[in-house]
Amino acid sequence: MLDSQITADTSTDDANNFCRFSMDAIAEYAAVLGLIARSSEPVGAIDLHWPLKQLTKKALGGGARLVISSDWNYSPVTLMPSDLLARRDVVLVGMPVAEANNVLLTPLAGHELGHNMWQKHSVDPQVTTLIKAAHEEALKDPRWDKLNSEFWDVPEHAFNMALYQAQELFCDMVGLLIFRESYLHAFRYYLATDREINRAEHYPPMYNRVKILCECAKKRRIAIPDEFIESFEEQAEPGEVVQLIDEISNRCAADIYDLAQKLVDKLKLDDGSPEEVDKILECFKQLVPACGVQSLQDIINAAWRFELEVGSKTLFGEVEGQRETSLVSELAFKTCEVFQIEQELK
Amino acid sequence: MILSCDQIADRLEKKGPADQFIVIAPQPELKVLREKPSASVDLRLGTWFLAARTSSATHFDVFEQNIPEHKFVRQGYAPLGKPFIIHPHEFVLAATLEWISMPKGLSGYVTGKSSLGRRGLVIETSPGVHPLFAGCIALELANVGEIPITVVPGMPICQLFFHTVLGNPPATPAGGFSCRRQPVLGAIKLGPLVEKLRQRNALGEPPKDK
Repeated sequence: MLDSQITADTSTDDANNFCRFSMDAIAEYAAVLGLIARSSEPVGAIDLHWPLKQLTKKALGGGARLVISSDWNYSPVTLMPSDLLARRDVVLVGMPVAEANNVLLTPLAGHELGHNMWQKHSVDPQVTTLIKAAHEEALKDPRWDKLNSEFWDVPEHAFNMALYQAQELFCDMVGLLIFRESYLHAFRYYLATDREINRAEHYPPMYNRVKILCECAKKRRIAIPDEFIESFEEQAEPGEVVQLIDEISNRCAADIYDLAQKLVDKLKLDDGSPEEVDKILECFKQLVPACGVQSLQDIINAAWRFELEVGSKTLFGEVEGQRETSLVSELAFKTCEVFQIEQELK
Repeated sequence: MILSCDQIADRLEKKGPADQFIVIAPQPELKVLREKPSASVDLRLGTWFLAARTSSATHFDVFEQNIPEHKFVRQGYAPLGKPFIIHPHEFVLAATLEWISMPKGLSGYVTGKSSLGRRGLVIETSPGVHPLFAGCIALELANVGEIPITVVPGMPICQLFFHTVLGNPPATPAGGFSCRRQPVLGAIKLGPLVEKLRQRNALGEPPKDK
């Protein structure tokens, strides 16, 4: 519609429609412009852009565009793209400004990429079928009879919310499958303190997300960090409607994982190698960026291992505070740049 | 003793004395380096800059170093291959694209490319690179000419000479600028003499004349 033009022959209805579509588009793009305009810490975004864009192109095709911003207004880390932007393969990654220069949070961008893959690769209809079946099955349980009979809109609402939850689970799985161990570390680092005082029903409960992530990690032979589940608090039981929604999405988790795994394998997004991670880690321990790197995932996994095994403070305790926290980012971001230079020269 | 290009290439390939192994990332092409008729390795311009602000502060006072860096300078970025213009009489801090890791048995010094110097671009004013330094080398770029000069991240901007350290090499790195990939202003050390005199003035003690 936006590509058409208004001429003297255009009917009033068509002109009105055109204006309505235009206004919708302006409203959607304004959100992105705001995201970019409010960006307060460009350093991490700039350094991360090239390697993350290569990954984005593999996931969505050569025409994919990537916007990374750091914004006080958006937290947690990622921002779901609008339908219009997702259709145009625009991936939005909003880093929280206080952590925008922290390379260790990069894996959470994998979750955001999952939202675009959901649209681009038509995951939606496949999961809708799964949710529909799980929805029907769940409603057979006499526990929900009262809800069913007293609130006519509950089944439909539960279905819609369960579909949203399923999308979030799918995106978690994509992030895990692409970034492997580092996704679990980043997830815990950023979300383990989330008390979920006001539980959003379109998000799966945090404790469920964590347990499902662990099950998926075991299937893929991804090492689970020590005391990973224990880092998260089990929440109070939600209301009956939310319980129903959670149950529906939970029933589909294993099938959603199969879909995510097939897609990630088909697109060859999991191109990391433990041997490469070891090599990069050795370089980091000698305080040099690595050369000859093959993937962003290897850099980030090595960065997390460096942080956990060595720790920036151990090496640079005598230097000012700012340096203590960012040594690993310096090494990893520089490795990203070396990776780019080597690829450009090929 | 200054290392020849052939010896620099050897040290990059971990040949020769172990306390002289050098790491440069991205690594220069060793074949080209060995054939170079000189005794240095070329380094390229990095992508991050710090340019002086002209309005936020009246002057820089070494006694008042608590003022945040952003009052004096603003950070700039130019992607690889894109131009960055340095105007006449402008001073800009930059860094090498290459990350250097100096062994304890070598130190180095940086000099600007003479072809740029002849056009008015002064490239390095504190050229010493100490043993055990790790990071991108900061470059002080000043256009002392009369016309703007375009520089491009990724272009050769300076050269690094290596020489051996005689006697006992240091066990820990010197200075607080190690492991940085971007240029920073850093703190200025006033030294024990000035610190002591300053402390005495603050306490109202008279100077020791005799």
